[in-house]
Amino acid sequence: MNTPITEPTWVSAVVTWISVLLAVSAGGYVLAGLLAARTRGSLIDGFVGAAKGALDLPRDLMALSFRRLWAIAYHSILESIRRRLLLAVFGVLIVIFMFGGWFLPSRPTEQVKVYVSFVLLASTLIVLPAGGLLACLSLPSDIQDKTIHTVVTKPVRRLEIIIGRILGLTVVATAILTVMGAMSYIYMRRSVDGSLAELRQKMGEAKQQGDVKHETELKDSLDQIENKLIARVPVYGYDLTGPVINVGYETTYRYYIAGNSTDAAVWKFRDVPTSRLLALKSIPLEMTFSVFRTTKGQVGRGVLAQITYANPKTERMITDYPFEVREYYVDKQSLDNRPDAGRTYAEGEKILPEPPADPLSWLLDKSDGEMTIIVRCLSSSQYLGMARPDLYILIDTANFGLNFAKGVVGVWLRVFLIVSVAVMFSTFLSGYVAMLATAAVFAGGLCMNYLRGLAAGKSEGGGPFEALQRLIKHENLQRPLDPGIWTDLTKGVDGALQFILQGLTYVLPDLGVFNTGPLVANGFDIGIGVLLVNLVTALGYVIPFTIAGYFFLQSREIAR
Amino acid sequence: MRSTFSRKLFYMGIALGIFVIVYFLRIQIDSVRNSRGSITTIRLPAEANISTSGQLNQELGIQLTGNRVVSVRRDSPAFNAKIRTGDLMTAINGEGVHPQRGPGSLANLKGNQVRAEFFRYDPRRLLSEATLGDVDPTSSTMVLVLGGLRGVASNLLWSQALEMHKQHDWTNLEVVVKSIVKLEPHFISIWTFQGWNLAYNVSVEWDQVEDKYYWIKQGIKFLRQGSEVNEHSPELRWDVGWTYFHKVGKADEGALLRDIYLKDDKPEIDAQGREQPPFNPDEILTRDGLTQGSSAMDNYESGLGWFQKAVNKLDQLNVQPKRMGEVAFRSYPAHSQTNSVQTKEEGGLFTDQIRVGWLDALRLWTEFADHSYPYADGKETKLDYSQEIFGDLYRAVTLMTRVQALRANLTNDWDKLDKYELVEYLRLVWPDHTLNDLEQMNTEDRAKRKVEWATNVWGMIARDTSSFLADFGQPTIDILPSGAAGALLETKATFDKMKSFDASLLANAGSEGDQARKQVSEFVTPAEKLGAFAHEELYWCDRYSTMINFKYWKDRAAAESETETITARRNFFTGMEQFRNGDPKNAMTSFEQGLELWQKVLDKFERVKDDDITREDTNKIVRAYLEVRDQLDLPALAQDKIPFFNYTQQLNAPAMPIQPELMMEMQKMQREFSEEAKGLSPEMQQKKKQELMEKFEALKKQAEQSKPEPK
Repeated sequence: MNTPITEPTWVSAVVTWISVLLAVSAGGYVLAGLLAARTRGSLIDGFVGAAKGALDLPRDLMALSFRRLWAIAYHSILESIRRRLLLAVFGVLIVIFMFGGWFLPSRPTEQVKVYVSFVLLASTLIVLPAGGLLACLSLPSDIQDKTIHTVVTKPVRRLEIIIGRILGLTVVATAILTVMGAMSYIYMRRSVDGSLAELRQKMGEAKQQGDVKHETELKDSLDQIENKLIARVPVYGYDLTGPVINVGYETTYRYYIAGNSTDAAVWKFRDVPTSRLLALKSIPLEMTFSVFRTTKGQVGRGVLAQITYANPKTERMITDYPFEVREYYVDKQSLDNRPDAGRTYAEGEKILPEPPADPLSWLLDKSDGEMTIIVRCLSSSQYLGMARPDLYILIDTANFGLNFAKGVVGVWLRVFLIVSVAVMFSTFLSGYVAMLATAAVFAGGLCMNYLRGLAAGKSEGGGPFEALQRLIKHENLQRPLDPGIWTDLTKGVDGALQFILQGLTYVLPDLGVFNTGPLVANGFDIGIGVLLVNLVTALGYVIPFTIAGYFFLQSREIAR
Repeated sequence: MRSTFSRKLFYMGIALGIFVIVYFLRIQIDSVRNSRGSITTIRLPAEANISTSGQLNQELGIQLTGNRVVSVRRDSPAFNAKIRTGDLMTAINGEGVHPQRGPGSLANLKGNQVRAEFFRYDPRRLLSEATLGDVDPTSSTMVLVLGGLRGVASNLLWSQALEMHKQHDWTNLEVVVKSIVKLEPHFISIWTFQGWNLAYNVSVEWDQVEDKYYWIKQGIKFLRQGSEVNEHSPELRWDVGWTYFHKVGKADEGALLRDIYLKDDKPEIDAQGREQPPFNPDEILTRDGLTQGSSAMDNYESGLGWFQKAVNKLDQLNVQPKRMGEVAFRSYPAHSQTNSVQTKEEGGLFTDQIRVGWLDALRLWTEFADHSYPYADGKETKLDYSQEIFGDLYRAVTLMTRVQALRANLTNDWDKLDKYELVEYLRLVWPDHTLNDLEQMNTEDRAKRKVEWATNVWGMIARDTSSFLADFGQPTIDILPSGAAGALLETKATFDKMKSFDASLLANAGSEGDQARKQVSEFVTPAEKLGAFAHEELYWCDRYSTMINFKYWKDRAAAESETETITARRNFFTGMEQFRNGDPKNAMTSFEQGLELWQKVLDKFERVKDDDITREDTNKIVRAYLEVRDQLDLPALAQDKIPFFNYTQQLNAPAMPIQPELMMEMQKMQREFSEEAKGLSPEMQQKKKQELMEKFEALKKQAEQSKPEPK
């Protein structure tokens, strides 16, 4: 799995959020002031009126009633049920689950990965449009049917209308997702368990027939599937040094070390639970290295690697036996507590003649939770590639079912976000226009990496007008444009568009960050920290959208 | 409202039910599929003699190559039933037709009890998707639903696939690729490219051989699926065969991949946990097709099956292959069989199966050569003809060359003619004539020589032409284009008129000379036409067979099928094994026996002997033999006693550095040639160049002889 580890940077995130919020608020205030000045005839009156309007927000916030909120939310739920949305959603879900098997890969070992990705994607694609559609049509249909007047004439705050709708629709989405998640999990487990049972049966038959090779192959497949039905809680190193060679791949996720050389990849760990390791009596590692061969080498033999476990404080180290790297598989290596004379035990430069009686205790003594793992490639003319997440210590595993549920939470956060966006748009746009706008936000959110590249000018071929010019002139992406007035004009316009796009990338929600499906699919636990970060990120978008929706609703005649 | 909703639900349920039934039952609309062409059934009279398949074909009035009708006799039952060349004989009494069908099944039957069925493919009937191949409801649904956006979706998916390839996300790559072909099931290039991508590009990214094998298998399965969905594509079948042949057989890890493939005869478990048929079931490929056997096929045999299907599909559709020449396309069944049996031999198998295998290879090469390959509008050539036909063709070309020379030079003034051109014509009669000889002749000598030359040339023509015309066979006429028969008759007629022709008159200036020259001219025209046909036929026959090195492969198959060859190779294999196992004495005996037989084989098959691979193989054996002798402390053999010394010396000789004086001489000759060639015609330039090359070779030999021998 090529997913880099990203550490949350709270301070800069908060600072950026506040800056963007202030900038957008300031812009909104200026716009509101100018619009008010138009109706009131005076700039000062306009800005004063806008300021007074702005003060309505904290007033409404203080007067928020959970009873009224729930009443609005409850009616939103009833409305959704009356629209028979649930039936449509479940109907589509059933069809998808029935025929989803057509798209499955033929290799059972990849079944879990594809199933998890498939069901989470299906959930996203069903619930998101459903939630968005409901949210877009809810308020505008009330306004059109004039039923909103019966609501606003009650002592219901505009803020309560907005938050109530968001809450109600989110409850509906939550209910759908809960049922979908449960059905998906059952569907997936039934299929995977069926494959496991079949493999076990075949393994038994192979064993009876004495076909050792076939039995080994089946066992390997079984292990690969079972390997995915867990939720690893990896202990990652905080730093990786050593791999610097680029072998020419387009992606630079991994860098390489040369074989049979002084090159080594060094992972540094801290806060390693050494007591747990001692209790386990092993240091279990898992790794997924890449192999790059410059020669065929020994055909049929893998590239050899060797691991050295080191205590940076005491300079004690244990070098384990070489092993063959299996590319694209999760290699498991474990240093057990046997005093094995075949391993090398060293303290600084000095190699011990005999292994210590309790090697792990000897190694981890006075480490203070720090450890270094050194990997070398032993095969000449070959290279091993690694990134920091490619090696980790695996002490704990969490429950796969619970992890799957956490994956569904990622979907829920997206739905929550899109619902709030949709409600905001529905406060000042008609239903279908709000749908278009929401769809645009959704699409932009999914392509955020691309948009950021475009805004930063890193995309090949330049901005939209430069790309258009290249298309018309049949020019490739690498050749610079001919100098001239048209090029200057094109670059100028693109620059302006990039500036606007840059601003948009701060405002549009990045839906990709909530996608924790790959972690579940590849058998990694979604930590509480990750969930918390995602929740805070979602709220960081929802709150401003809610506030914006409130002011938009305030500006409409129905609110007066 | 409730009733409306219920009705909608009911209709949706029916639609869903039909969809599910169609998918799970996979109804194939056979009648629609069969309507891809027309079927004709012929019954023979009761008294027809049909004891053998040959007799059956004779009675029907057809000749077959494989299942394909290659000729139809006029007024025969087949002709009267409107059977034409290109039609396929598909069944006899309801059973499929095999090329080597034995007489047993027709024994005890009367003519009127035999029903022969013929199929003619009609592309105009390919209107519905069911006629194109297996129908996949998912694919059809997605195609219908997406409408015009199908192309956009395919492009997006393809971009996604490329991105996944970059990210090395193989699982999702496979899923996306399968989605693409659901949207574009009849776009052959997608199947070809993605199948190749999986088998070649993805497999190479994996390190373990077993994993490489898995992805090659995925590529093959993908292509096989494509061939099921696209019944009209010979290319996809060829691609399946090629992947078996090349990717499994010729990879660096080929030995391991072949081994894994041979053992891949266990049922597979799919992603739904269901058992699927093995990838390489226990079947063997016989002349009549696949039959149950005790072991799986090797990759070359599997490839042979698919190549054969591709060729049969080509015959059925009566089209040319789209991506490559037909000659190359059709050669691969023979290549597969050759490689299959060769690899088995290299693995130490020398049973009668090997001889049969080589004979099968020879048969396949012969069948391949026996097909008519088009080279121009309406003209076709085969890659091999009988000695009689080749003889006729060469003699026709010789006649053409002579008559053309005669006509061209009679009217020319020999004093003004280019000396290089003139000396070539003189060599037609006097092969040792040199430029020097010509330069020493004055005008009178030249005039005299002209008469002599004309008389001699006509003498040669008169001497050879009557027997040539008499022996020119109908089989030769049959293979030449339609104008050849007329040209032959006209040549005969004009030659008959010139029985008492006086060639000495040809050089005369007066009316007698004119009359003689006119007579010759009347003879030359049809002879030239006949010769041109023959020349074109020979040219394309040689060109196509050279393109595929057909003559070598045919001779190779013939040579390898000889008992002596198999015994020789067995001796070499045994010798190597004994040598490796530390038994040099027996190894030496094995090598000596093998080399003795090998000499006989190479003497018999010149073309095989001239091949570099044979030379290298022989060299390897000889070196091993000499090492064995060395191990046994036997005295070193003198050069003339070393087996195949001169034969293998070409491989062992180091490259000779060119001496500076020789280099300067060559450069001088090149400059002279550049100057002299300026005013010459291309043919003359070629001749001049050849003269210079001869001089250069002579100089080189001289330099070789003067160089001291390497130690």
